[in-house]
Amino acid sequence: MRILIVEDELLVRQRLLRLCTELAGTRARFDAVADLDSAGDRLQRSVYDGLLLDLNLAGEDGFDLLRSAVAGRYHCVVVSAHRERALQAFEHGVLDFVPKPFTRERLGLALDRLLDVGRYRSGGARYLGIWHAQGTALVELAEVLWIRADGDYSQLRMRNGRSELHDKSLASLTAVLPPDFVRCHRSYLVNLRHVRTLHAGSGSRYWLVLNDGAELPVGRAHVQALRGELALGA
Amino acid sequence: MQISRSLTALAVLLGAVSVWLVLASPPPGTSYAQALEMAPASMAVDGTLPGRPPDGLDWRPLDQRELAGWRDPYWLRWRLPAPVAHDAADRAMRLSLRAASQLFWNGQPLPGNGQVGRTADEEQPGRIDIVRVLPPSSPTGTDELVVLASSHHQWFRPRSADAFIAVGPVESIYGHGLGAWLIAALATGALGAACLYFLAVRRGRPRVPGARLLLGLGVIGLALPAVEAWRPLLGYTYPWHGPRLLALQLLHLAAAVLLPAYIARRFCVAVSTAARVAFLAALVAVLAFLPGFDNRGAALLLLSLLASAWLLLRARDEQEERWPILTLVLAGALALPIAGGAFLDGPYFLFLAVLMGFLLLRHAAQLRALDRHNALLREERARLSLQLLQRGIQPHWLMNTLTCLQELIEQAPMRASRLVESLAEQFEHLRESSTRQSVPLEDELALCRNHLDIVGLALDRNIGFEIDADHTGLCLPPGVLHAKVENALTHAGAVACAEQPFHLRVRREDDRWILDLRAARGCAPHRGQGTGTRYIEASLAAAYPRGWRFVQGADGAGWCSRMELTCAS
Repeated sequence: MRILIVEDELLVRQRLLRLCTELAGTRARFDAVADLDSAGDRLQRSVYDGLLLDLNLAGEDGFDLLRSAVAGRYHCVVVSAHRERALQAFEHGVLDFVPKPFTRERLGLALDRLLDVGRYRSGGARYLGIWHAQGTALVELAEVLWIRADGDYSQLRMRNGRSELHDKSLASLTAVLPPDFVRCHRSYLVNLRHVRTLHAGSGSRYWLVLNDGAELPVGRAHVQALRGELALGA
Repeated sequence: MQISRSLTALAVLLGAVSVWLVLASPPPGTSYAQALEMAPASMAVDGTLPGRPPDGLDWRPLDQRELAGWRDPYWLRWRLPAPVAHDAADRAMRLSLRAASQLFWNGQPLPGNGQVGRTADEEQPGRIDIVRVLPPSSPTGTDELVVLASSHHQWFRPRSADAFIAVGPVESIYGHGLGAWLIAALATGALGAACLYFLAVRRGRPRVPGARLLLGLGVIGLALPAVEAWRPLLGYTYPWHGPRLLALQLLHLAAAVLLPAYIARRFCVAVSTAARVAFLAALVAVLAFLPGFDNRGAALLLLSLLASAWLLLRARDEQEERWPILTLVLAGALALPIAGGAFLDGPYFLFLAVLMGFLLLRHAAQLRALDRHNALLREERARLSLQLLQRGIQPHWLMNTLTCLQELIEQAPMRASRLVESLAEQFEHLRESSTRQSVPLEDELALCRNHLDIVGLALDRNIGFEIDADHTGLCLPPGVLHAKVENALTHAGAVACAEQPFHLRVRREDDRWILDLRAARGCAPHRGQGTGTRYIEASLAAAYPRGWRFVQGADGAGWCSRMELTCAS
């Protein structure tokens, strides 16, 4: 696994690199850069699985950076002095927020979460960043009906009928999505807020009917769990 | 607002003057008359004064100017048509004469006024105005008043003798003018109350331009009606007439000087020395060369009012204050040529009382507004002090520095120790600065250098701060340069700031300090719109109300900031 550290303070960058290398051992390789331009070069040239990102780089608004970062295929852990903006960072879809000054143990927890992203789910994201040709746009998750796997990407269907393509896979997205999003099929995540009914079709097949009348297939392996979720929701 | 204030002030003035004129007008049935004839009094063989009007006197027509110069005993004669019988028993006479006098009405002696004498030692001065109840009129149809008088105690020679009588019903003669003076007393009382209120408001507050001049004018406004009313209300023996006129003339002169002086000071109108000298010379010339007491007083005041109007027209600020004053001043200037001496004898006090009352109340309102402004400034200062401390411990900088410190403790303990010392010094500077409204430039520079030391220790590079300054005596609101340094570090980055050192140039031009700070530019698009800039602008506004300017912008590879501050002196 390859992780990129983006931090403009020399000593902090050195500290992150040193501690991460010690904590991750052979599980990951780390690179460190001081600014976003260098980070952009690295991300284009190499495939990274995760980012350790400082929110304030030479005066640029950290959340402009964050929207770009979380829209990528990699997961993002924020390492920042702006403790008061941690909740906002989670809403933008970060995996973890490490406040400065940080201890070795706190950094270790964040690294574990980054290195084993599949084990974690039910994040606090409220928005997802979407790459567009013009830049990064924010999509509010409450407006998303369902998410379908599309190779290494994911397709988001919005309430207004539009679709958006996200760089992260369905499995990666699961780690940051809120509990409203549950797996209903091997290729689908559904937003429970927009489910009207679950009904059985012919040949023991199950379907979810959404508020806009659309139907989603339900995999046999997910029926029981989905019933539980819907009962809890009721 | 200024229109309603102007109209209110004008209406108050016109109302007071109208009431005065109505109450001061001669009551019905009263007639005024100057003496018709005059004659030197001839002594008896033994040198005594005659006890009754002799026959065969050398009467000549009255000449008030000539009479003003007579000292030795002399005779005056009035002849009046006798009234009809039904009101003949209820008549009185007021005689105004600067002399000791013995009166004979139709040949009958009336109570005397002082003691007529051949010399100053023999003479006992009489009162300048006397009232006598008259005996029945002559059946011949003509009443005759003959007065034996002497004026040895007249210390200066006035232009006219002003010898006249008023004859009418007893009630009119005794009560005439009292109502008008009641109006003057009310106006004086109101002015006195305004003065006391102004003094109470002013007490313990910082000085404001022209306050003393205004109080001086207030004192004159109180003294003038008192001196004027001395004669009609209390009366005095005639030798006091000269000093009273002199006092009135001096009060007029003082008012003529103080009113334009106050207006120039109050509205910050620059007046050249030549203009001041010319104005004073004109006043002195009026005093020295213009004949007649009333003429001199009227000329003095007209000059003063015209000068005041000129100053008010030249003033640029405070329109809402200037127009009501200008309206009153122009009304006074217009009344002087029209009413002349009559204006000086009464409406002038009212004019002065209304003008002074308006000025005092507006000045007091300004002091209260200044108080509110100062309270806001104190509040702003407290807020800025808090903000300075908060900026000093802002999470981004402090937490990053503490993270660097963590790393230094593990990797380079000696540098870590120096960083702790610098941090302690930084907080001491901030604590000290936040308690003060302004700090010397040297202290502010020490705070900046200390901040750069800390950042340099974390970066392991020195960040330079070059000074090109002649900054003796310059004080700044705390933290303004510090905020600029922080901004540069935040937006351009410490590395850029290490490669392009800060450069501060301080110079003085006329009444302004100019501080130019050049730093690395960086590439952040929103630079110059953040909390640092707002802090600087709020601090300068609080410390230099209406006397500051702050601009900043990119200049090539640098970011230039300029502060212009008006010198306190």
